Amino acid sequence: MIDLTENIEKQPASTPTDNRENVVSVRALSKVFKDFWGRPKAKAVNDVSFEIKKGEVFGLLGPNGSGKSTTIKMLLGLLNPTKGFIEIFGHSPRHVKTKERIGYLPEESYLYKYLDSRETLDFFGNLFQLHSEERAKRAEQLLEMVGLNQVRSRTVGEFSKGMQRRIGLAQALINDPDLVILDEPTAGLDPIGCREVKDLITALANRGKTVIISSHLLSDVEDVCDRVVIYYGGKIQAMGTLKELLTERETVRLTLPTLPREKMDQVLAMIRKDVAEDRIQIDNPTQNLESYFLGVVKRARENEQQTSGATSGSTVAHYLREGGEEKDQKAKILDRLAADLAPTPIAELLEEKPATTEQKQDANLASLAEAEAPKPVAPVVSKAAERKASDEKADDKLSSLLGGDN
Amino acid sequence: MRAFTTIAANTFLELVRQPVFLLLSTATTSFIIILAGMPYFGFGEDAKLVRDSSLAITLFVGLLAAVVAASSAVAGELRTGTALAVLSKPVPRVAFLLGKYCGIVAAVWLLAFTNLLASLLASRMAYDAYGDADTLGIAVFFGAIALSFLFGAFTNYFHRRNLSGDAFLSQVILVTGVFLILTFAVELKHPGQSAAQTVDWRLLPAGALILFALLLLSAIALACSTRLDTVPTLIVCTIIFLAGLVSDYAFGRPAEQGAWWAAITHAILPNWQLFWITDAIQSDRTLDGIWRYVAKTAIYLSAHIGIALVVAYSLFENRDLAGDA
Repeated sequence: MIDLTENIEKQPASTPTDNRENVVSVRALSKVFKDFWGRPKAKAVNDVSFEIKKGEVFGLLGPNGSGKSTTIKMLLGLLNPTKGFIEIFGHSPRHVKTKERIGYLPEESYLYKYLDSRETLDFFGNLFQLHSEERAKRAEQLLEMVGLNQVRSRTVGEFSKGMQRRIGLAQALINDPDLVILDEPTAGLDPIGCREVKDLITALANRGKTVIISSHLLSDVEDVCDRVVIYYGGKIQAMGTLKELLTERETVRLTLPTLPREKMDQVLAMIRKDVAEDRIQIDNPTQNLESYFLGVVKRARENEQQTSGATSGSTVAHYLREGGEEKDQKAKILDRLAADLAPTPIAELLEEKPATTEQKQDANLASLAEAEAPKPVAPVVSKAAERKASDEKADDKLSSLLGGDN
Repeated sequence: MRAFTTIAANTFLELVRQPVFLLLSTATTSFIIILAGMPYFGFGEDAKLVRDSSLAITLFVGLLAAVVAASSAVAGELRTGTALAVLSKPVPRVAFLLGKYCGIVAAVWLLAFTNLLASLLASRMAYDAYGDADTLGIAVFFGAIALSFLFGAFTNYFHRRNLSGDAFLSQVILVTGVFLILTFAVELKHPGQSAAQTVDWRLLPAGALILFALLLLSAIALACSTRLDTVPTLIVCTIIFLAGLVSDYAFGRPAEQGAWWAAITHAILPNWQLFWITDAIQSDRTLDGIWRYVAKTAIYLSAHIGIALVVAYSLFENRDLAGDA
């Protein structure tokens, strides 16, 4: 008998390594907004405490008005806390030296509407006292990265919301920040843009950068965050790593290559000895919509269809890559990712529609068993091992994106 | 320092690229020149009428531009969140505020400078019942205005540059060129006149004082914009302007009779009458020591600008830069 829970129970607690440097410390933070007469109007943040370690991707989750953006603005020194303590890199958030190490993408990217993309990045680069050649170089790379190099002479005021987010993201990275704070980074972006932003966040984290993301788009956070806090009504309702928060320790999922019918029967019979019939679920894994969409776009790009909007250049800016200046990294994130995800025709996808009801188990079993040729049975992989393999694959992918030696 | 200069330059660029600046510049300079191209049958007061009107327009439009520019550059950016992106960078708030002030002043002064050149030209063109309109001067001036628009359209079409900004800046250059050519290279003689008509240079100190007034009102508008939106800023600035105009009458007289509250108010409130010497010019009285008066006014101005900027800083330094949204 295979002990399916063995690996999971032996997983170490996934708390962050304590010896890492504390980038952000927030203790007992509260913010009360007052009206014209000084009377309390709204308690936006209420006794919030957390710490963020170097290299973490930290998510602030919560519904609209739950206090995420207010917390971020206090972290940036734009709002003054009513009570509590904030320390960024060991200093006050209002300290000018602290701000030199921070990149911030505001919730709404209303930048200077009469400046073009190039001037916008030059302006923000100037605020960090970058040398003019360095500013020009970084601006070029960032425009390429966010896919706005074709529209660099258009003023920002003419941009669509998604394009404004892209230029907003570019300005947030002009100083190669150690702490990147992104407020709703994927709001207004198309699926390609969302994917690029998520890849960029992962790439930044791989370089040891700390990233804080505020979002109510749970899938975005789930894809990239190491640890999250969930806000509601200005208070932290839950906090921890995604594994801690999301793992269902009472259930296990197996992923196997297609087996012959008799082998499958044997496996099921073994499982049915210990598990009630109504608690067993069998289906085919399906490709997600994002992967399918990226495949379609890749095919369209191969056919050289033109667009007047932002393109998906998306090469990670040279200076943002690990050892960026030394490596001649020409690969494009999207192309690489899309290449890994072979596009599947719609008809095939429809055929692969999962059947999840218990009544269809046998039918599924039959179809699963009808493989063209029996393949060697792969060893049973626990959820933890599956996750590990997935992590390794992601590491390999990022390694190639970042130049090969993360 | 770099943050200050960067913000000042950016504020200036953002303002002059707004179509409203081109519109104001074109409309007011054209109006001033048209004023000098019409007969008034003013019993010999025609020239004075033109001078008075052109300086009044310069002052009024400058004040309006100062308030609009301050609201757009500070209150507008705070409202839309642009200021948040800037102040999340290593920019001290004082540098942000002073940079904004200098950018606003540069843009407003450029507009006022163009209007003052047009006023000086108008003083040269003005004629009485026995004279004729300076058709050559008027044609050259409007040719320059048209050329500035063509230049803006050219750079916009071929280089995708901002039409308003390029047209406005080229307008400033072309109007300056036209002023220099007409004033120093073209002789203007009205029928019956033995001497050529020249620019009334007495407008220079009057123009300098108008620029001073704009400096001060820009500082007041900036202070208001740190806490108020465009319309409240406009209302507060209008009240301060009107109260300052009647300051001598409303507060000066009671102050002389010993009313302490009037003395304080009279001292704090900017006295706009000090910046308006057009009446003195038109009375044809000898203006001995006029530049000494301008220098004294500059000291008065410095004190008031200092107060306004300190108030602006104290209002801005610790304010929350976002609402409870």
